[in-house]
Amino acid sequence: MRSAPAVWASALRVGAFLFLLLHACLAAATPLVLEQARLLGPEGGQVQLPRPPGPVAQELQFRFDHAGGEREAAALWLTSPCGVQTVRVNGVTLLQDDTGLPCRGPQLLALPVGLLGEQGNVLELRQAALVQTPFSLARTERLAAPQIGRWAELRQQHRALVWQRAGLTLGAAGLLAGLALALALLGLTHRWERRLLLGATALLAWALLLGAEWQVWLPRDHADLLRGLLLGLCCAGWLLLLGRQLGWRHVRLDFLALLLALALPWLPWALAGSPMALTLQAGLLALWALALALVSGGFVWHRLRLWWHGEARWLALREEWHGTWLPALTSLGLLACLLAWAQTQRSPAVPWVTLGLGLAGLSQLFGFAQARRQAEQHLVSNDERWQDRLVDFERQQRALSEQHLEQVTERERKRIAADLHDDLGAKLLTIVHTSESERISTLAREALEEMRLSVRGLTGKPVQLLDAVGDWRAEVVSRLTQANIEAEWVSLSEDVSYTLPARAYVQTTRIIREAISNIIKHSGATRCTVRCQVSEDDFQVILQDNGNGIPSALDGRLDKGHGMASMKSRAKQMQGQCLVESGPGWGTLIRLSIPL
Amino acid sequence: MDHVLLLEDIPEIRMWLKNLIQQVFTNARVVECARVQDALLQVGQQRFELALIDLGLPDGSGVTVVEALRDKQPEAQSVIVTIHDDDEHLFPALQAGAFGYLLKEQARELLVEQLQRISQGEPPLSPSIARKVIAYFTGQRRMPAASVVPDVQLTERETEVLLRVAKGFTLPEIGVQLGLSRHTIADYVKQIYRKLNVSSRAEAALEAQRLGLFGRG
Repeated sequence: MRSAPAVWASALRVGAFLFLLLHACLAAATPLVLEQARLLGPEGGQVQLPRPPGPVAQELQFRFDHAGGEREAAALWLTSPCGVQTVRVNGVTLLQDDTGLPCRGPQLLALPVGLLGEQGNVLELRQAALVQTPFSLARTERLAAPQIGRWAELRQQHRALVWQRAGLTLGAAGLLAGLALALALLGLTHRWERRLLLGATALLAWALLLGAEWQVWLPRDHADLLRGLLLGLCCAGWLLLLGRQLGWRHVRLDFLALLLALALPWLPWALAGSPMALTLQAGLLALWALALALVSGGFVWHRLRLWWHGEARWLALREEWHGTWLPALTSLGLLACLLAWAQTQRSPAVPWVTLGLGLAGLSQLFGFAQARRQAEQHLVSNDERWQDRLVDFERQQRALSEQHLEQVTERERKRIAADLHDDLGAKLLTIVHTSESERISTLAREALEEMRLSVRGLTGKPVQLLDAVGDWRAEVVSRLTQANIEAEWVSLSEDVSYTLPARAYVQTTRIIREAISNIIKHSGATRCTVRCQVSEDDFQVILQDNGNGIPSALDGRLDKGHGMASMKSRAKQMQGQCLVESGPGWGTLIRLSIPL
Repeated sequence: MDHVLLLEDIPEIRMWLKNLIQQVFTNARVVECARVQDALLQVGQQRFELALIDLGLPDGSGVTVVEALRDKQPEAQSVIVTIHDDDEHLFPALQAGAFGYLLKEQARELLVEQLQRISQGEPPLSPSIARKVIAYFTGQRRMPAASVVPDVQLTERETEVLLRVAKGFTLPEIGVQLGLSRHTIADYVKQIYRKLNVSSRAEAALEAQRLGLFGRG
């Protein structure tokens, strides 16, 4: 991993890194770079650095001059100390490491004042033999040319390189791990988001893989095996995550894939040392690569087909970007890494895979958040719908209960009406027809009529005004005709569409009946005109006779025997009025008006 | 009018009505009943020419007797004698086949006159009853099932008479307006009563058929 995945690191870090890199580049001319070495031992001869480790451990000797070495502190800097076991300067052992240093960590060694002479200094490095363990990238590691320079300057460059290699890589790994943790927690706590666990597995495995490259956190001996395991886990997690999009929902398949990922790397590891091991390792990685290629291809095909058949094709492009192309590119990067590693080579795609996985993880998180928001909106709208339904239901319920109440009331009214007819009516009737006294039977008949009108007011529905006028006409005209009084009736026009409440109909009927009775009994008229009219919001009935009028003796106390007071009070009950005008010689005029 | 059935539950009124009947038809033999069951029994046993039937009786409605008379003795005239003057009570009885109605509380002279008129084929017709008849026939015309009913429709003249009655004109007035004699108008009214009954019966039969009372095949 030579290049750093600097793209998404924090701006501060990137800035600091760029500054230091620039600084290091500007100062790069100063240190002494030892590119020529002499190989000690039986082979001997000059060698050029950087160089890979050989099949056996080798001693390299460098000779160099160092002006001013006696006066100021110097430093020896190994930017890529692959497999260095011992470092000796002028016979002084500065470093001893039996297994050999890892390649990724630049090593800065202080050269105390007085150690170096002006001329003829000797640096001896012992480089360990190449150990071909499966999943190791040691074959491509090269020991870089050592550099000698002033302590302060080299320390600057060393720090910059550490930042570049460790800081950014481990930072990225840390971010990925954090993302993986977040996804895992979401996956664990939400039953329907278990697929997030797969994403978390892939991300975490990749983060650890990045760390394993750096070899800071695990025993060096097992680093290669671990890399194999993590690679398998990452691939498996990623494959299954893509598979979810293709509709795979088999927990057993998940377990099987993860189990395979964990089990397979042990095979080449167990055979370490034999030539079979490397072939096996390559085969295993190729297998992962094949699976990845197939699933990713299927995934892209599936997504594209969905997109093509979907609506608003061009509007969906943006979603298509992080839904399809991001995973596809990540898969491609992973594929490139796998293929490179199968040939035990480093891959330049690593930072891109890191970036892709990170973005994919974010996309998953984003998707979760969006789904959550949708669910909340759905909940809210559901809530509103329920509220509406509840209100509707209440309204219906109210209408129903009102209807029920009306029915019950109606039934009760009918019962009362029937009772009145059956009991009171029958008794009054008996009085009407059995009483010896004409006065009593008339009274009883009137009482019976009153009762009937009351009952009608009790049970009645609103009456069309025209119908009511028809009823009144029939009664008035036949009564007047029977009493030998000429009747003239001026009716309403046919297009009147008012209705009268049952009570108003009954009251008006009584008033008219009373007025006609008065005319028949008291007026001595020979002619009577009844005029019905609707003016503005009033209904008016005007009864005029040509009788004697009301005698002045009765003026002021019209009520006696004429029921005038009851007519007036009935009119008042309907918010109407009943006016009586009378003059000797020109009869009586009764003007009844009722608001409509 | 030799054989008259009188169905009335209040003894005093029954007595009084009997008197009334005997005043109008001097030779009449009046069979008195106080209950629907007794009346039905009498209808099954002997023939009547006239029946005065109260509506609200202790063991049911007089309409049952009207229907029984209509079915068994179509030539008998059923007249409703009631305290109810509202069409909600009268109209079903008229549909069942009653030929006119008398309101019990009216003065004796008036009742005598009305009974005479009815027996001469001149049944009374109030505006509200007329409106109900119009609504009944127009409503029936609107019903799709009515096409199966034997075509009982009011003639133009009959409708004209009904419309005028509904507006409150008396039968003599209508006679003058249409330039027809009093008897002709009475005939129209009689015809209207008859059609109302026929149509109601057809409708009832249709309804029964619909409910499967007659079997279907």
